[in-house]
Amino acid sequence: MLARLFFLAACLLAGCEKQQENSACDDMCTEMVAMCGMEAYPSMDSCLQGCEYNADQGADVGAQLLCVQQASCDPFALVECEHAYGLD
Amino acid sequence: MHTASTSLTISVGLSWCLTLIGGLALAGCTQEYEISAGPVDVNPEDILECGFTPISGTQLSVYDCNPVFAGTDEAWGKSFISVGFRAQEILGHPFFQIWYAARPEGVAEGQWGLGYAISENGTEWITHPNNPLVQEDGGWDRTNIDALQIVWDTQLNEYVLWYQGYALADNPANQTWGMGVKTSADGAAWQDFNDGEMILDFSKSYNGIRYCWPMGVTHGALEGYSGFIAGAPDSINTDVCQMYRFTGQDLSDTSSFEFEAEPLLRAGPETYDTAGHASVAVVKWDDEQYFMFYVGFREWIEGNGYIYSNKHSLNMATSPDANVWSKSPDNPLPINLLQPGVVSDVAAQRVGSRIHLWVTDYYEDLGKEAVGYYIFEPDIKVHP
Repeated sequence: MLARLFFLAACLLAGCEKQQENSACDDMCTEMVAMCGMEAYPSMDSCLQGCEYNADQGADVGAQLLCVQQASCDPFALVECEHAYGLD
Repeated sequence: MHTASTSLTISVGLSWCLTLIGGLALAGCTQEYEISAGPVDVNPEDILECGFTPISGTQLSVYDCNPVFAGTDEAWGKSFISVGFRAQEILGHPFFQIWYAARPEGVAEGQWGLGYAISENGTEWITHPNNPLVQEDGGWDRTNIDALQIVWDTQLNEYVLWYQGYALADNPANQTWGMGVKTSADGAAWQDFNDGEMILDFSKSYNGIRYCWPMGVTHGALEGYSGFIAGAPDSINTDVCQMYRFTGQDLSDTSSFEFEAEPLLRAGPETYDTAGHASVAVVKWDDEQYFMFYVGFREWIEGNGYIYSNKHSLNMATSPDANVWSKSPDNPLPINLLQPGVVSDVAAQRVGSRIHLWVTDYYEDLGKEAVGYYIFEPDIKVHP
């Protein structure tokens, strides 16, 4: 019984790890779409879909979020954030 | 019995506790949006002011508000010479980068600079505050740099700029024509490669082939570099500049690059490219399908002591392996703005289910060359 309960807890923790990625994508897309108003993104959902896909493919979205926040909406810097932490 | 009951009570208690914690954890982690799986495939019409008009008999569409680049207002470079395009996805959405050679208005040659700009939608450009990033310094490429090609080298983690450079002189023996390379970690600060010297001298013959000009470069993480360069065997007496290829993995060891002895695409016998090729862009669609967009020309004309290519058109070829190419029976593609055509350059890149094309042509209303934006969709039926 205890083993099952620990398994349940582990699953919950794994779920939370995934949610943290989602949180980074939330914050990143808020920055790109709402704060910077980047026209490349037709909608917030589109941005989130791209971010989630990148995360699934191995992109370091947490580190990219920090880079994006430091870029302060400078597109030249944002491109290099993708090179450093995205799928390139 | 007592023991069993106690155990059951403890288990039930733990279950309640963990269920409560789990519930709270789930509530804390609740996702507030639902994301569909897979990569994003942005339709450019969703982010642009104008639409695209299908071109009958092709899988091409033309942007209704062309041109998308006709130079910038920067005082150092109001006359643009050549522009290299690149699409860079950020979170799966394309941003567009251009590097352009330009010079002050009214200046015929020399005094060139290199500029960098970015666009969020491919039509409106933000110029880099440090432009010009490179300026003519009296070297072997002092008269002009042209045919700019930019790739991101995933091994070096750097941008690599390939270009044609030349220096004209009254005495032909003092003229220089060659291919140069520059590198940059951020697209803004550029370093000379090969100590600033050309990496290929177009005045010399290499293994029985004399080269004319660079036409296009691609780089893949696995494939490395594929460069396309116009040339002709020394044995041919007529003027022709047809497509050859060179390949290589490591830019730091260009001596290991292999220059193929046979042309990748021959000039002619079709009339539209009987005199040669001027520009090319190759796009890998999948493991069994490659597309090549190229500028071919019909003839040469003389002027000011030089010969120039004339009667240009945009054409397409396809390949299952990037090695053997078949010219499209529908060539030339019906996109040139003038007859005969003066299309001079093409760049192409796949983004999602579309190939984005940038074609340099002459816009009569502007009275100068500018870049038009086109979309090619391999998976759709030919437009009626």
